[in-house]
Amino acid sequence: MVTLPGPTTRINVMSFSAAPRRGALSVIELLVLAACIAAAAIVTNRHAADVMIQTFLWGGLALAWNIAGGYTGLISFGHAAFFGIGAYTSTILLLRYGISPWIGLAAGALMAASAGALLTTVCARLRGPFFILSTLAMGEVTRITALNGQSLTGGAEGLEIAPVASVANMVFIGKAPYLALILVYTLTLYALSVWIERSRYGFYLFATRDDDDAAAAIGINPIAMRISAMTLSAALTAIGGTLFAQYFLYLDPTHIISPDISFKFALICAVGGLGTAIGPILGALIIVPASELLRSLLSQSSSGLHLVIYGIIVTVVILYFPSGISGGIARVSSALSRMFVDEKKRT
Amino acid sequence: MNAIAQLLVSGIMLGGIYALMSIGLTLIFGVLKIVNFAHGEFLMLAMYLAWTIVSLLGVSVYAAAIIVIPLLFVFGALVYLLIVRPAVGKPHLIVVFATMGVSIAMQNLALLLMSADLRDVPPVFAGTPIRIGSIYLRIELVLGFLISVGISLALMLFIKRSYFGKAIRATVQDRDAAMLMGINVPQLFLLTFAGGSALVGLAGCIMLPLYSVFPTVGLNFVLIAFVVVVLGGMGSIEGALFGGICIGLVQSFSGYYVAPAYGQLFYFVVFLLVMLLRPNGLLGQRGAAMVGINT
Repeated sequence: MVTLPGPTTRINVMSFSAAPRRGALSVIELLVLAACIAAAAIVTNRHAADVMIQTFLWGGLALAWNIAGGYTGLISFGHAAFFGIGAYTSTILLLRYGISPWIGLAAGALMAASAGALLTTVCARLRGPFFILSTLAMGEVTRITALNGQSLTGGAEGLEIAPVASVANMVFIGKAPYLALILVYTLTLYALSVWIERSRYGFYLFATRDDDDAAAAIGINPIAMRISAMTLSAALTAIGGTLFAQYFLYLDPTHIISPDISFKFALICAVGGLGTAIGPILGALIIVPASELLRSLLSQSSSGLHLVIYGIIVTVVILYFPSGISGGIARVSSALSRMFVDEKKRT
Repeated sequence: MNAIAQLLVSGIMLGGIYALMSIGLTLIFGVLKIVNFAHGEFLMLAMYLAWTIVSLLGVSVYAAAIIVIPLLFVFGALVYLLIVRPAVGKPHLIVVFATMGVSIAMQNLALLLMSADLRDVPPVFAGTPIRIGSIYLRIELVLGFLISVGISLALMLFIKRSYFGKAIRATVQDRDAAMLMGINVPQLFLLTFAGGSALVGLAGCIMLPLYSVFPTVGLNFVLIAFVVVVLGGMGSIEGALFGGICIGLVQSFSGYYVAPAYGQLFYFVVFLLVMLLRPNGLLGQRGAAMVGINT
């Protein structure tokens, strides 16, 4: 249906996120990525490596969420379902049939992609809160199904992967192989995000997000764009789910498919900057180590305090930096360059 | 036959309580066009406040409502002024994420202060159920249902008849036109948000004798509230009443005939079906879900 744009009749879903990318990687992006790779190469401390693995994994998962939520405006609070589908598919295949998680990873991605395509087909015409709440309901349906399908998922007791180290089992001794594997996952997703921002496909997604009537008028099929973006995002989230399962070697529905996980994907993107490639990385670099640090500093005295602070940080960042940290950096750097240019003109 | 009558009546009673819990959400959505993701935590706060008053003063939980309702009104006003007002008019995502941050902070603050233990109040009516024919009902449930329905009807009448209600309806229809007609829309927003929170305060007091309170109790109920609100059509009070009773019935029947664990599954499936077939809710206006707002 056609609606007249106006200040209150139509609330633009995401007018604050970034526009398509023109140049190649910026200096700031290169610095951040180089620092991540360098830190991964030199880390020896086990605890530091653990924090880095979690940071990169969450960064990658947030990048996957960002393809739907940031680039296409499909805010999903049900991505934990895709995460869980990925983790459970590969783990069940491994435990029941002895199929290597490398194959399970692809199977999980395929399952999640189908689920994502189905969900978006059903909800393709819903907007704003209606879409968000449908994804939340989808996540809960998945969680309750996993919780009650004891014979397959182990129910509330969860599933445990035997820590038998081998490449075929995707179980390794020490942290370094995990760190390398997860870094590859995250950097691949980063490269994919940069490609989306520069490609025709990405422009179609942005057009669909910003005004689907206008997009349809110039020959883009908004529903096909939504379905494809959600399918891609779901498949990539599921791959992250398999990696998560192989790293922690334990799964249970309450922790894997909880709405908290879905919220975390979204909040990392929102804090870092929605609809940008570097945003989810920056968000993960801030949120994951900070919550680990706060947890280790505060947990002895009081449980939950680190999450209180986390909640407050999220609220403050969203209200005062609505385009996230990457938007803040862009503002500062453009202000600096303007100052620099003015200086030159004056002299 | 007896079982069906029992399930029917207790489902309707439960639905009335779900409706009361959801009215604040639907009212705020209808007027401000925002979804408050911290709604469940408001309910959790109300239940903890009521629990604290009951255990400190030893009064009945219904008497505690006299203190809890104004406290939630003030709390809602503060949240509105500090967090929601700066985000109104901006992309709705900002409100979603900002209220979600509030929800995380409140949930964990409760964990910090009250620990994860389940808290209950002693039964108000010494546990003797009402008996109508072969149907047994807890007095707390019947009382909760009557209060819920009474408040819903009073609110509908208020919105239909009073000047303030007229201003609310005008703002729901067209915010800009309402402002041009001299309605103080910012003040109306504040009062609606605070009033919606006060209703959550009442819901908390009514629910405390029926449910235990714990830090994540809100998540459980907010999902029900979302389903109720969407089912009935966002922004509609009679819709909330209708949606609440639907969900109450779904829960009581599926809990008896299938398994309580699947009860939640059923109402989420009902929700997704409604989204598929009648996305504006059963009583909502056409086209609302396609634009993302209900006008």
